[in-house]
Amino acid sequence: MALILYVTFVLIVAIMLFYLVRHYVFSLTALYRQKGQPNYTLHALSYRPTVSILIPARNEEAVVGALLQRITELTYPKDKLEVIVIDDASTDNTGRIAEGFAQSYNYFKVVHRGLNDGGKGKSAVLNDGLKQAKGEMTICFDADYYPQIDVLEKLTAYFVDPEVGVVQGRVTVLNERATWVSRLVALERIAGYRVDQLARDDLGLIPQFGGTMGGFRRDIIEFLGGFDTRMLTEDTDLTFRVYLAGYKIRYVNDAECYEEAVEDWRAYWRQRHRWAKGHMQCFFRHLIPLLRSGNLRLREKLDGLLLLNVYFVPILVGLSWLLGAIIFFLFPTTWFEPIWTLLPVFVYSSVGNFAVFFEVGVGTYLDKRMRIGWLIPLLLFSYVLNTLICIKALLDLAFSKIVGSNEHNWAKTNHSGGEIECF
Amino acid sequence: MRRNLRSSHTRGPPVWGFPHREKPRLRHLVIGLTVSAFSYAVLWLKFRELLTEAIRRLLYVGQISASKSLSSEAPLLVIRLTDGSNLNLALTWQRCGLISMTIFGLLFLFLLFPLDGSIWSKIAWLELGFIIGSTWSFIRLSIAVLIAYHFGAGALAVTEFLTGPFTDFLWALSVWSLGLSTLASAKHRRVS
Repeated sequence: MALILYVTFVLIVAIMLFYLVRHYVFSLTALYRQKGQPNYTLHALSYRPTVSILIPARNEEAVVGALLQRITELTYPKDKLEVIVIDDASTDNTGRIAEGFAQSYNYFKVVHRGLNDGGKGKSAVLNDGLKQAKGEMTICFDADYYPQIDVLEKLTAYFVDPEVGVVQGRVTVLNERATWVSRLVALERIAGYRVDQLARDDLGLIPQFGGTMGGFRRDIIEFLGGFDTRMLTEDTDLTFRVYLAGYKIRYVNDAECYEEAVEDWRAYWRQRHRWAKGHMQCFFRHLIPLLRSGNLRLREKLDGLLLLNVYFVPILVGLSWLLGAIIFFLFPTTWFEPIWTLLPVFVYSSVGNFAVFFEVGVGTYLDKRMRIGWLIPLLLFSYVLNTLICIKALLDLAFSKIVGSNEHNWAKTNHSGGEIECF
Repeated sequence: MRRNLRSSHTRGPPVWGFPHREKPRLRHLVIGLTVSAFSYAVLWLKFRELLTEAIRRLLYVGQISASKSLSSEAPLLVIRLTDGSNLNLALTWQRCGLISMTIFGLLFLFLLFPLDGSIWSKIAWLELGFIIGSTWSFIRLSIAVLIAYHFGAGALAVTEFLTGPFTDFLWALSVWSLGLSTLASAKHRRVS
């Protein structure tokens, strides 16, 4: 019995150590690697494919107007631009606001979904938008986003490479100062994009499509059969489907967009629960195809495996705590002490799901952010919450498998638009 | 962030930027290695004995009978408990917080010293971390010993589990974050 506990504990510690080293390499890459992006060529700089912007919106009257107004200000040639707002059976003024823009600008189009179709998740909404899209490239924005004016040029430049199927830009939190929660989310975002995604792109690993502030070749997504409506995280699902199909994803750090982050723990819980559950769905769906794929290099497979596993990490750390307590009190040994000491390193390595603490620190440093770095120890709270969220997500997923249900509730994040109003 | 937003409001051709990169300050790393090696030597040679003596004196002030002893593995603190039995507390590397301090030092060394910034600032934060770590170890161990004195040896294990290496990392991470913020602030001031 004791031996099994020891072996399990050491195994979990080894997995954590592997993640730790991986993120240390990411941090060093983001800091020091000089051969990174952007690799814009003259051709890339002048490349202007036709673009369809998809904006799924459900009861987003507080924010959608600002985004649509901002899109009219984009520097991308308007004759190559098409904007499709998909009103997902909104009961507020979202549809009317979008219609107003469609009347004023001929490259705007509004798709209204009926009450019976609405609220069934972003995948279904995007699929409806895709049916209307005519552009070679499709870029997605959530309704609460606020892009830089030259964001499309920066994103589409990477499509010059025919191997690139998807591009992803950087997301920065706009309402960072609103609450403690939004500040902590901002820290996670900084590390996740400025360090993690950038390093993955630099190292030729698997940058992740975030579902918004990113785009894809329309023919590829059509070839893949659109977004899978059964998946809660259509972005992660698409990431792996694109790689398995032999294409790659590029992350464009220079293309920035501002989002409204969740402002309270309840909204944080709902959002992360959906992410965790969807990510776990992807784990079970793509693990074997990923390992067997002939289209991916070994390092991509390894990175993909670690990426798929990322929402299990908080559970593993929690489990190691439990095992550690049992060993500490019931089967103490002299060699256990130093390993036990290492445990907090792994705990802190897992604060935030995509970002270890030193990645957060390196991200804030590279962004020349100063005082927000003081909040890094507080990420412990979101870590504890993430552990609970991931456990619940796993249990929910297991339960739905047992009862044979493929229906998953799609918890929408509400946006107040408070920060966007100031623009 | 707000400045970024304003600049992106301006009309004109796209601005193509490069993500900021640095060159690692290897000389700073070497200096840091030397300084931390010296600090470790002092800590690993003297700290346990100092800590044992400090806690013995603290207990003496509180009129708790305690004596020092030496075993082959670690200094021993022998405490007479309220029930009349003796508790032999070995001040192992972990119990003294030395392993946590070593991890802190390594994190600090390999993550902060290669960055841009004053070497004196980095050394100051490193040493401050060691001082805070040592102080916290004294406080933590004192609390554990007092709880053991009043509630017995079983309570000592629970206290050590709850306040053990996990809380060590609260100070380690806080010092690390503050050190990094200081470097970023200094850099920002230089740039602006």
